[in-house]
Amino acid sequence: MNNSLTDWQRLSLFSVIFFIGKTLISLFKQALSTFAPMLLIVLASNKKLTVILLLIAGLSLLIIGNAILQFWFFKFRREGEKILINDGIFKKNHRVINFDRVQNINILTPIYFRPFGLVILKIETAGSKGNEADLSGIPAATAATLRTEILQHQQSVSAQSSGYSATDTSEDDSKLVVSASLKDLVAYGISSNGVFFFLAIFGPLLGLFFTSFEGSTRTFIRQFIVPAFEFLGDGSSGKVGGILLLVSFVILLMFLFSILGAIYRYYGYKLSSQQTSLKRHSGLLTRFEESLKIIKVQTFVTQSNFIGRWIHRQNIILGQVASSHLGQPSKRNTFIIPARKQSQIPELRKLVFANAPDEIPEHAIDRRYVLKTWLIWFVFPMMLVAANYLTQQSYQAAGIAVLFSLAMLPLVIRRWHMYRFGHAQNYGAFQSGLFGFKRTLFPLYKVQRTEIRQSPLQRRRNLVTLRISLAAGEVVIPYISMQQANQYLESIQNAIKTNRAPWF
Amino acid sequence: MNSQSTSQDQATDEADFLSLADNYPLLSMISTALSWGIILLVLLASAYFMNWVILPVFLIPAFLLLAALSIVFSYFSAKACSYRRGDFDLMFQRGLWWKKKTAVSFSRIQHIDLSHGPLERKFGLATLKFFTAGGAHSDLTIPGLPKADAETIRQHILDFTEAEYQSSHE
Repeated sequence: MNNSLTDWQRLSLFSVIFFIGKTLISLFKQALSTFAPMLLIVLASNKKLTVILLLIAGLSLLIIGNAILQFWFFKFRREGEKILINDGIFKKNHRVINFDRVQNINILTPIYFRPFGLVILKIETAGSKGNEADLSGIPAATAATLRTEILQHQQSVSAQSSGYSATDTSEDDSKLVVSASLKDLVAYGISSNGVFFFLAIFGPLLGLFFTSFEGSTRTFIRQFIVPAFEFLGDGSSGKVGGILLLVSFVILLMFLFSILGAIYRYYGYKLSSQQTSLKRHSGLLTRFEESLKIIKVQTFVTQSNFIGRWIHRQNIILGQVASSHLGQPSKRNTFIIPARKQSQIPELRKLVFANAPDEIPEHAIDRRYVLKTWLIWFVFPMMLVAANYLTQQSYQAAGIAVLFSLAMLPLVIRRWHMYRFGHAQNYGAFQSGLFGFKRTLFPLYKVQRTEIRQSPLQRRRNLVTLRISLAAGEVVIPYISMQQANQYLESIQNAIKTNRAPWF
Repeated sequence: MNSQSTSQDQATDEADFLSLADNYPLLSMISTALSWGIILLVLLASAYFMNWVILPVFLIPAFLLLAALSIVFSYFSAKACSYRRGDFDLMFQRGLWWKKKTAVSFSRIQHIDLSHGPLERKFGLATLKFFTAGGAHSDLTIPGLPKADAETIRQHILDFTEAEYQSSHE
């Protein structure tokens, strides 16, 4: 026990850097609402440069002042099996974090803290909407002490309730399970869906930029972009070529962004296992040291997009208790093991779910899914569109609408084909996808709620949709027979009845 | 043989389900009628101040017909609800056209809310809401229970979880 921690502690003065960064990130996240009024002020003024400089100076002063005050009012201490935190400038927060409730304790070493031997201790609790506590800028030794104390406490509680031995808080008995090379990280970058975050983050910023400087952007495109594409020729073929080239460039940029993101987050990835927990180290500029109790894992998900399938790589996601109110796991509650080969999956699965069977017999969903999905989502809407075009005598457009609905049929069949479900030996499995796939494996006794739904269309064939709610998200199996759904439900109920082990 | 036993199982399964309180369908109708009444009042007030631009007079019968159908539907919908309290779990089924059957095991319930609004108090009814750890989509709400039954169910589940907690810590 470190007795000094029982007195109120301040963060290091260098934590001001962390608070500045935090404020900047939140400002950029709300770029539109933050910068739009400022842009309006700049555009409306005659002395644009002076106004811009004044705005930058004012904003900087505000951010730095806010960071210093945040540092000043932030205090923490340990009291028994609790951490007490007081913070807030105008609105005072008094937080109490019980060691029992802690789900993850992660130690981050950002590049700007490294020379001073400081770290960020991130404490996450189950069911919370955000991180319960970020102790940023505390000495590495203090963070290690706090983490050991919390883990030891949890270990002793877990040993009392389920007979686990309380020996795995030491660093010595850890075994390296997975490491990821740079090649693996590139594979992860292109096989994960991180590519789409490029659009999510830069899309609104580009939109704001284009709206604010519409005139200048148009001139720039006319003067520089259009001439650059002139080699593709004039007329419609030139335009199509230009658009294709531009789309290819954006896709390339998306992949580059995703790969760089993967390298930033998972550089030097090492996953090691101890008796009852997993620990991973990764990160290029900021080193992340994260631990996860195996008992807290709710789902073992393997997923890959179409490129991942092509290069035979899958990403593993260990789902924990979700904090999102929409029932889907939030990003921070997922523990990712990047870019594994199919042959490496069973070993990792055994590590997390030791009793899971090697093979779970899987069934296809009913083929009527195809007809219903195709009719409701594509045929009927496109018929309405076509009818609208026919009244305007646009026969070509009406024909395209009909062709579009026909072209969607193979995709719907593909989607149906990818659905697979099954359960055996107290474990459930589910697969969905289109060109890529997502396979979820979960112990039946960890299921929170089960729902069987039947629409009027499904009733004629006694088909249903089965929704299985887990603490790490939801599994929805559409178009299975009522008998299969009831059997699944019964297996879940039996598993919960017979397995008294803690689910979390 | 197999299909016969399955249908038999299903029949037994259905027989175990209990209906909600006898006066719940009436309460459901009154609640729906009140909701429609509020919408109608707002529309009439807006129409009056805006010279019937929002709600043309000829649409009032159509509105009343829709409200009447909705009230009748709420009656039968409430009649179609039923629940089953097993030894280890709770099941609730509802729906006339879109049918739903939800199951939650006692040991997965995080906490229970028992609520009774002014109308429910008048009818001696209560609503039980069970929260699990699977997020907002994984809660279970059983309305229209006689207050005494709701309290008994809540106590039964609390006793169960308490006993389970004790046995796991012995």
